[in-house]
Amino acid sequence: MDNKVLLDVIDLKKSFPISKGFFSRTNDYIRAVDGINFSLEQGEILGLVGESGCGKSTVARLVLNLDRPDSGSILFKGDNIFDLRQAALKQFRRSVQIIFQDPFSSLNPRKKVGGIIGEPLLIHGILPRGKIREKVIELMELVGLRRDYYDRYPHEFSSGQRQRIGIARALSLTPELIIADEPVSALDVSIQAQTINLLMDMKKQFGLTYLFISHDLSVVRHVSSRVAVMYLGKIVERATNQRLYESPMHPYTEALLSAVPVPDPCAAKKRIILSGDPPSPIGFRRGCLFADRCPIADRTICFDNEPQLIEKTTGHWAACHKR
Amino acid sequence: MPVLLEVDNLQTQLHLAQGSARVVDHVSFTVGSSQTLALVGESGCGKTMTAYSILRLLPSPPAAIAGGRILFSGVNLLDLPEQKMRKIRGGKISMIFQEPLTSLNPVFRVGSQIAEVLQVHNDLSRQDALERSVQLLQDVGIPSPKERIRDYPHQLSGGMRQRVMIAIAIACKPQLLIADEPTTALDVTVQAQIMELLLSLKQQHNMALLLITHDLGVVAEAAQDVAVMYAGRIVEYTDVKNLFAKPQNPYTQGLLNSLPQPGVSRLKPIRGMIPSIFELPRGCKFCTRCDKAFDLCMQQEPGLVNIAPVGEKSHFVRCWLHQNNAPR
Ligand SMILES: Nc1ncnc2c1ncn2[C@@H]1O[C@H](COP(=O)(O)OP(=O)(O)OP(=O)(O)O)[C@@H](O)[C@H]1O
Ligand SMILES: Nc1ncnc2c1ncn2[C@@H]1O[C@H](COP(=O)(O)OP(=O)(O)OP(=O)(O)O)[C@@H](O)[C@H]1O
Ligand SMILES: [Mg+2]
Ligand SMILES: [Mg+2]
Repeated sequence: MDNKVLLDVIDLKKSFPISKGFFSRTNDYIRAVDGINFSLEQGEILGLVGESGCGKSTVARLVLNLDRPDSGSILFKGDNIFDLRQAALKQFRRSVQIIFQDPFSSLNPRKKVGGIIGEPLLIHGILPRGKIREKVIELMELVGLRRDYYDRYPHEFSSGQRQRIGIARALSLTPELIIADEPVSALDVSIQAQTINLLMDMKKQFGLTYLFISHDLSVVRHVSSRVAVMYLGKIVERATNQRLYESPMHPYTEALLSAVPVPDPCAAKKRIILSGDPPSPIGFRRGCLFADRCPIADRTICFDNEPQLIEKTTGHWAACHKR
Repeated sequence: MPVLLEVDNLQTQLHLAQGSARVVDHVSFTVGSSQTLALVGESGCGKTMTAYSILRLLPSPPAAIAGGRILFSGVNLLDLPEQKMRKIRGGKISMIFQEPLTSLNPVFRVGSQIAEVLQVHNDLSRQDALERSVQLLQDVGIPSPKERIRDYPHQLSGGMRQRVMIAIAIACKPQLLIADEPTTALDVTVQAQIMELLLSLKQQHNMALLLITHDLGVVAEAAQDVAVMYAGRIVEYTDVKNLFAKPQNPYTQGLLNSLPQPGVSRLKPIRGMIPSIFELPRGCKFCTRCDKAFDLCMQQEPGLVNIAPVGEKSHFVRCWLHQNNAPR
């Protein structure tokens, strides 16, 4: 195996039981993550895209070791993260950090900014108490926050500034891997662009690796080197950025890309409008999960046989019978 | 194209504990019948306040209209008694609100919510109104509408709820539909469905559309004319092709440059952030973030002037760089 692989996700599954009533046993499950595979090389940015509820944040929680999978494993530098104990687990928690979508709810409203950014340093006992302030100010300046904001509360900041606070906090432990779960989705376009530039600068400066989760396909196109597309808990296509955007294979990816409004009134577009809503992630499944919305689905196979994610051309994986 | 709506020098004020601020400041635009005007700008620039002012739905206090006229088919809505205004809302002008979740009543079935609107504006029996509701749900693309009218809002997906909102909005065949961020909360494939639906209904019913959004992609695909707002003002106003091909206000240029584009390796954001409505600079409201600002910009606010050559489609810009009558 390539020795530069930082993270390897293998056959990962996670479902949540739905209780139907007070006395009934739970017998239905939401298959939030249903057997997915991907890996991340050191220094790359893998974009994970898909629509609401397809399981992106569940993947994030599993990779962070905040949730345990039903089956499958996640190797970080070769070790299964769910087997880590004590010192090794602590080291893992330092090395992998998250940046959330919603800077409003992810920051403790009663803590001052300096305290929020310095908290991980304190918890992990990285620095003596007396040195923390200095380090926090260094981090604040790094992400473009003025040092005199140290004693302010989160509510005094705009959403873009709060996202910078979240980024500074994530960087405080000099992580290797950052899981960014919709890091710019709540931001206005000008602030979004500032934040993306900051994330890219930090990557360069610290040699970071990102798992970049977003439903915004143009943002993912801008930042990622490779992209994985999720639909109902499964990866349906995975390829280099260029291949995925320029010659998508899976009909769902095609529909997704064609649905993105282009900021050019003269652009000629052929739009694939999907019928219906994404089906429920609950219960029994059969065949291709996309078949009932798919413009090219074939009665003879698609509704009965589940397509496997296979390498159709070098480095370009898709789960579709018809392509 | 006959003018349906003319907003003329609209000023809307907010009176808050911190002081008073003008959140809509001398805003003027026109919407022709069956035309689409997009109102764009970043969060807090005053888009929703403008829409609420038109329908006189402002939360009052703290908000109040301080001046201007809103002419709808030639009648100034600001002069109408509330009772007449109530007939217009949901009748000749209807609105899709920004928060689809909060604008449907959770305790009533969707069918009865549509029927209710129909009965307010038309002389219909309950039975007839419910039958019309089924038809409307069908029109907005909801499968098995006969069964669906019995659903409560929480039983529907986000996209379906937005379709119900649209059904309510078009129930009385309005001449003008105000759609405030109609697709912002939705996934992109659902967004595409809803925009397609809105545009086809607009055609069928010959409806004019005031489309409020912060998404420049949606603007490019749906609008004929665009007004860009910043800090409660219109800073650029022209037709959609002009705006994207030859944006003239540095703010509009900044917005377009901020968008990720294939082949561009580093984004070019606007620096800084939107000032609070209570801390707007003197002069041009964008001067603190503008790379092209010079002395005059800090001192005096430029007016909105038409820079298009005589005989061409108008192109309004609020920027000292585009005014040859700048004071010396
Ligand atoms: N703790 C939980 N208990 C029950 N169901 C859950 C739980 N967490 C997630 N789910 C369900 O799992 C599915 C995947 O959710 P997830 O949050 O991973 O989606 P997502 O792709 O991040 O969506 P979004 O784009 O809306 O953030 C959804 O159907 C969700 O309702
Ligand atoms: N009830 C209120 N109290 C205080 N400020 C308010 C209130 N309502 C609106 N504002 C302010 O008025 C300004 C205009 O708000 P408006 O809702 O019109 O913005 P918008 O352009 O619709 O933004 P968004 O894209 O976020 O919906 C903002 O600065 C906002 O903070
Ligand atoms: Mg999520
Ligand atoms: Mg608004």
